Amino acid sequence: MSNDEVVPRLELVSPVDEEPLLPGETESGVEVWRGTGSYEAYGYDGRGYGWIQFPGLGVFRFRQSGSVVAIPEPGVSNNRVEDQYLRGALPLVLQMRGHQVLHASAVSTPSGVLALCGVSGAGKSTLAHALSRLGHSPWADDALVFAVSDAGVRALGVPFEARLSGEARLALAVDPRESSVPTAPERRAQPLYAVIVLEPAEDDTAPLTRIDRLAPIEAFTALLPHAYAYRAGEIERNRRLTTAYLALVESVPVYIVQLRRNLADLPAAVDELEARVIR
Amino acid sequence: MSRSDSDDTTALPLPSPDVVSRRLGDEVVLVHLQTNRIFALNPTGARFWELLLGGMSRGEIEATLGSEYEVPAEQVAAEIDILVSELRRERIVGPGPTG
Repeated sequence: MSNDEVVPRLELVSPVDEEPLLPGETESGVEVWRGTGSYEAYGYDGRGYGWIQFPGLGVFRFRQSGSVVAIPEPGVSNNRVEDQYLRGALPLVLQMRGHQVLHASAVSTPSGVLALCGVSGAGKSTLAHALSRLGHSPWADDALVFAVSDAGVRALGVPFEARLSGEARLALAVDPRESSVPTAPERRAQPLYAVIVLEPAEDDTAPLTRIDRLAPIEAFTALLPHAYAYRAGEIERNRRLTTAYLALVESVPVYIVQLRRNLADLPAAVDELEARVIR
Repeated sequence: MSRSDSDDTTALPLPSPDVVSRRLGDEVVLVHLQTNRIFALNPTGARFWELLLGGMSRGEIEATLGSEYEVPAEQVAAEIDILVSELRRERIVGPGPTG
């Protein structure tokens, strides 16, 4: 499966040329997604399409196949729309189309793709960046797309834009002139090697790094909160999601990793992680 | 078996079509897609579930579990009653007869 087959093309349409359908105008239920900060999105159906609205930015409409159309609000730049497409809309569209998407950063290792999931602010991007400095190339920043088949669980490469917090940029000595630009993994698909669920250590007296492999059932309940779910109330979509995650935890090791929040400890923690998980 | 008179395929409720199940090691995980509740069956419960999915009658399941776990028939029957009652309460199985 090529990238082109997985990632739908984005078409930008002026609101003058097409009037967007807004959440209040649909008779379907409206699903609300809330992220950190002011992030908020609404998903709904109407006019034969699925729709996702990002207030203050615009709406995306799509079907089961074909391109995705973005209708920006007046004054919103194309760059902002394209960025929101990669970070916010695309994962949901892919999930709606039958792929599974984990809220995770990821790097490519010699053994396969290592996913790093956790709540916003847990350090996914920071850890992925630190691992990339050891030679593990970036694979995903915020959304890891995967597919389950008889051949196993494979991570699919889709374009992404890596972002680091200012604090992490300082700690990792990232050149401030280094802009975050959309990246595409070099390979289309790789086996998913392991998943790490990041949790903050309770305090600075905790061990530098705590790494525990989860039993499959624990792994299942640990991963589900990090699954992207487009209109999860629809039972067949929920069935596909559940089946895929049960298959994942049966064949892919899942670890809980607790890291101290102190970024000065990060290099040592990364070394330990590489020795014990990546090997 | 104490329930030989009701040993037919209608004596146990059917698994709900809204439930996804999968064996993970010794256990079976059940996920109800309407309630999003997750259950784990221990090894004995897991075996019961697989036999139920396989379409066995209550009598066949009791005989199989009694043989595999070397447990008296009355004990197997009582444990099945408890498990089926719990599964029914969580709508993991339909409201059919217990036999």
